Amino acid sequence: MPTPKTGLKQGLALFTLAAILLPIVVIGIMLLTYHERTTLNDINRQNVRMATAIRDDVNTFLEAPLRTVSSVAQFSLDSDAAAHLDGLLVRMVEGSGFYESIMVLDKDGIVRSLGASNDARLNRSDYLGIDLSRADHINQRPTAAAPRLVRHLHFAPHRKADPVTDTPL
Amino acid sequence: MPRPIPRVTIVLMAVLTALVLAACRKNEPVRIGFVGGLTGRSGDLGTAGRDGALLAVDVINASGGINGRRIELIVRDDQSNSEEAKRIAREMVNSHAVAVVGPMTSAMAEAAIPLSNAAKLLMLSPTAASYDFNAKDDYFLHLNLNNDTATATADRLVSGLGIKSCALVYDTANHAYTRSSAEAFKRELAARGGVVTSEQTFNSKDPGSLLELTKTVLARKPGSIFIIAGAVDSAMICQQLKKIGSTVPVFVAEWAGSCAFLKTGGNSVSNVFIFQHFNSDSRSPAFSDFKNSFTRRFGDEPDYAATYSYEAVAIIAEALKKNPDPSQLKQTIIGIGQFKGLQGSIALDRFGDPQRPFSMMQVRNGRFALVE
Repeated sequence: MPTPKTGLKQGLALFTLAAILLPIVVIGIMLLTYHERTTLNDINRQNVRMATAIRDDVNTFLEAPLRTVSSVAQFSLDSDAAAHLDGLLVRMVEGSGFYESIMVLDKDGIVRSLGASNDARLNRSDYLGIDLSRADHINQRPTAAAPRLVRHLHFAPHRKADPVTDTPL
Repeated sequence: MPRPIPRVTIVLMAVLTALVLAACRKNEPVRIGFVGGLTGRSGDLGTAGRDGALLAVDVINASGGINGRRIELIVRDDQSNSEEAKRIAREMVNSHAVAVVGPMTSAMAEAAIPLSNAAKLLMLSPTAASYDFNAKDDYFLHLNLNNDTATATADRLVSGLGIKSCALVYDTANHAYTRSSAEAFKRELAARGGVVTSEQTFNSKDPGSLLELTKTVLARKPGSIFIIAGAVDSAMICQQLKKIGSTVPVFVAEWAGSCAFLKTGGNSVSNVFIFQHFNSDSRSPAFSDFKNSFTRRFGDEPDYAATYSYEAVAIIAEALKKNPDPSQLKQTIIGIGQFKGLQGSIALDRFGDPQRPFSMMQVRNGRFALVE
């Protein structure tokens, strides 16, 4: 079987093709690299803008619950208001729409006052007097002589239980 | 007339295409599912299990994956809901998962097993331990065993503590596990001359007043109490006992043996007994490495659910390295039989039921401490 020969015509065609394609490939790679870099920079800038916006929204969202918590702290320290604290906590939980329950603990981590929403189906008598001293958010707080306030930060739409704080669902 | 394409070129192109296809297949990840209750009152078990599985996947992928293929973990929350567990089992079949780690509770496993059997999809549960799953030649294998701990609890009560009466409290939401455990315990206690003074049940999905339940239990003046429930509910019952001032010895089932039990129970769970196959103070080098990596990554120490989930992923990976055919996975695992666990070897019998040693632990200073 005769071996096919590469003629002058074919050789020229190949060289012409290479002469055309090579610059296109080189310039293409350079453009792609540049494009990739600028796209990544754009994405990074957009991510930072989005993260900043989310942070601001979250801060605004948390302001109201934090005000609620501050009010509870004030009331729990006021001996005259202590008798009405449970009722107040219930109203705050129902009014805020943010908490499923708010518990006031003494310095030993024992639950002394409690307000819970109806949705939480939390049995009051079960929770009053229990020892939450080993729960993470209590354990990690610095020891204080004054009563401490513990928030149950449960986001109602997600309905996720926190086994540490033990909010029943 | 166009020149015909030489045969050599055709053969070369075919070989090249086959190589490209093989390369694509080689790069395709091995999909392993994870199913557990990540939310709700038993969420501690699911989240710990998920974290253990994630860590195992990371470690295996970092060391080259399964014969060069990365593992992709598909995580799903069954919400401790049977219908959701069934839906997820179907989803796992459709997503071509080679195996599933989970479900984490016996009730969910009971719902999913018929589907996994029909699709011949292997389910390897780290924690589900109902007696009903033992000695069955199906596509459900498990790493946790329950028979011996119920016997040991009865034995410890009568022979060890000299107590012959016990009140039984259990959660009907995970009936597949709690019912079989309660039955075994009653049988073993009776065989040793003991008696169950009362049997109280509750449903953790709507538990009602645990304080009232606890008062009812104590009214019969039992010599001891055995609680078969999840970590949060067991801890809450111990809290009620402490509030009432009870000093009756309390045993809890292995299901409760997680960090959530210690954290939710506070000082109320001090001195509570538990028989576990898992030892949080194990000095095994493999477990120490795992414990350090887990604590560094997730902030908490690993419990039995995290440890067994890690082992489950490792077992699946080891079997797939030996035989990459997923349809043979169950036979490959049973064929290997003996696996190196994090705290010692794990032996699986011909039904995929495990044999592993257990110990009696007691809660001391906020930890599960080894008693014997």
